[in-house]
Amino acid sequence: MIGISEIASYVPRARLSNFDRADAFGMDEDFVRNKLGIHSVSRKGPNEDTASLCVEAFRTLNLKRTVSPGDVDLVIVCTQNPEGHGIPHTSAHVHGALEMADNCAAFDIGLGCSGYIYGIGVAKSFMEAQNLKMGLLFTADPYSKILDDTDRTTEMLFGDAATVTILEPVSPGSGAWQPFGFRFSTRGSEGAALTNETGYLRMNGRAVFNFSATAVPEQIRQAMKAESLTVDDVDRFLFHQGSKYILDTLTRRLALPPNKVPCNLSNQGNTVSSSIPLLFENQLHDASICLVALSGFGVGLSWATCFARRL
Amino acid sequence: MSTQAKVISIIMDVVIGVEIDESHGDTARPFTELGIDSLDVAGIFLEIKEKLGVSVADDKIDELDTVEKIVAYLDTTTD
Repeated sequence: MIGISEIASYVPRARLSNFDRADAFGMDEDFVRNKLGIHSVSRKGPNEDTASLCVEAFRTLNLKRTVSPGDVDLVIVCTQNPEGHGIPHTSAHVHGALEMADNCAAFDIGLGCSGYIYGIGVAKSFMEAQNLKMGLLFTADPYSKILDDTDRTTEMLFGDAATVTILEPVSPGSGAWQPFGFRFSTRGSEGAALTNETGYLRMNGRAVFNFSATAVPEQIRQAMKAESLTVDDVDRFLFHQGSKYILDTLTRRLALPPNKVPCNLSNQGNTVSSSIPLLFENQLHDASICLVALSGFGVGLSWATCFARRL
Repeated sequence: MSTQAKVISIIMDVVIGVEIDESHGDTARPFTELGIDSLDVAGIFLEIKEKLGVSVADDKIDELDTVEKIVAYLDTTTD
């Protein structure tokens, strides 16, 4: 059984303050603080790119647990903003930078905010089918590469970050996490809500909100019913960190206790597929937390939910 | 329940802490004066769609920035 045993992250040090920029975008401090929930967004440095963010996350991982690059069987990078112009694939860049072995599989997954859960599902299935022992799922989607700094709907939302998750054989009593109960959904007919057709991200905020507020609760309810879970059974609901407003909306619509819905937006922003593992990283070794729900949603439109239980 | 009462109920459900006092003319005041922002508006019109069965186009939503305008629109739509 393949499960999750460690998560590490890299959030670049540079920040842009939303309080400093609010006036220029016709927003007040109350809106920034209580609706966006994003006080500042993280920004990669001028010499950083998608693969280097992954390499930094790997270095952070090795501060928690030594992982020899030569032992890695699988590298997946979830991104829609690849290294350079995308050829070779970003996971190949990471593989090369970390000097991994030739018999290591490496490929990218082109998803955004739903990507971590799809990535866990793909990695787990691939590893179990191929009897692999050490997999690394990276998320790194630096949207700063495609943001229009005059666009009020996007410029104050998105931050840069990378995470890496170790997937490996796990056993009961190990304290590792077993993902289960996956649900994957797509609505390509409404994909125009979030696009990059000109080199810049364009988002129809209202359409994305309407989708998030309706499709996501429905998927979570279905997923919980299928696993015979109630809200009381779940210790934490780890939602994609789109904005504080969407988190509050989901909390209200699902009638969740607010203390079960963590938020880490304030000093980094919406980090796309990194937002859920950034949250999960903080819960991973908290012994009081034994069952979490993970739900990611956004560009595609694509959304996915799964659960993870502590073994 | 009147359309206006339904709309006010939806707004107060979506926008925590907002007060709409008809006797103070709040139904004619722009949302920005009532502390209702663009994200709240998205939430309000989603609930109007779900609870009242009326889907309002984005460009129309931008025009309906008071309770009275929403009520007038809904009343003409459902006639």
